Amino acid sequence: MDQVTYLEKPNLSNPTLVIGFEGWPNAGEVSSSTLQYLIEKLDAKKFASIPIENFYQLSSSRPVAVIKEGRLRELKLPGNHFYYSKPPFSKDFILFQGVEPHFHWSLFVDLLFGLAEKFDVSQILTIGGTYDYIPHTYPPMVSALFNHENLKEKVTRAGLGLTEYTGPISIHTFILESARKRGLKALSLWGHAPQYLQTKSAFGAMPPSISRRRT
Amino acid sequence: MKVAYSVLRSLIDLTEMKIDLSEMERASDYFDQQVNHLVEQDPKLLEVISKLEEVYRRSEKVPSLSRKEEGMKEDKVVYIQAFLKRQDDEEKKEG
Repeated sequence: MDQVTYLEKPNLSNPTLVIGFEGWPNAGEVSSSTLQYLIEKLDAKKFASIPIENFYQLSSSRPVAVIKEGRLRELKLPGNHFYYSKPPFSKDFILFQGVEPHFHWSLFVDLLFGLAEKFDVSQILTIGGTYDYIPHTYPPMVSALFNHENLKEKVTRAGLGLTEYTGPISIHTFILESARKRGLKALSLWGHAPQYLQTKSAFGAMPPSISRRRT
Repeated sequence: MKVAYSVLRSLIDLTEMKIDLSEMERASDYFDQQVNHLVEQDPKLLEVISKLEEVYRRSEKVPSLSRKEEGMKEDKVVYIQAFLKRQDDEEKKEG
């Protein structure tokens, strides 16, 4: 079926894979803002993509058109792109910026892990956003969940809250479980956004100082 | 923005990533100012926030991953994006 398409195959040394999604697990645009910032500040370069075919119901998550004076200028489709960064004096990173798929999660995650295995990814972190009953006047809460007991100490040392939750999941949790089955350690960070400050679309308010490079 | 900034700080702790967060910090402050300005104009929302602060003070908040479906009445939800766009439009008109 679908395969990852490569623009190049960079030489990376046991990179850390950081994953973010737009869609349901992007409350407060926490995930997309974080990944966008990382891509810009790490000067990350796009090198691979997961094709969108078979993963999205476009009639429920519609592509965006830019039409000016009657002429169709641009059509923005959901994108699932991998970027790499080899920062000096630091470890290598692969950043994945995508949209949570509507269909075929298993296949989607197989493609993610196929790439992760190809590049000998050393650790996997996903970034999500959730609405919560918290005031914006206090320091934001960041919680974590992980798929291996050995990660608990790391998470606790970083001062993160340990998630208590029973309910519907996003693809983040599916990724953690798939990683566990493959013997890979993975953890998920969740930024808690105040329930009363909601954004209506995937493209939210950004101050002018931060540009958005959407490729 | 403020939440994304906190997430980035946690990510740095966990991965030893070397990245300059100053721009995100400034963006976070800007966002906070805009939210405060917005909230000040809405007494109902101020009341909600005050109650949340009270709950927050009394209990050490446990991460709950509560979601939209737990429900908050629409009139107590602020669509910050629309507000900021209005602000931008007004500034452009004035400019």
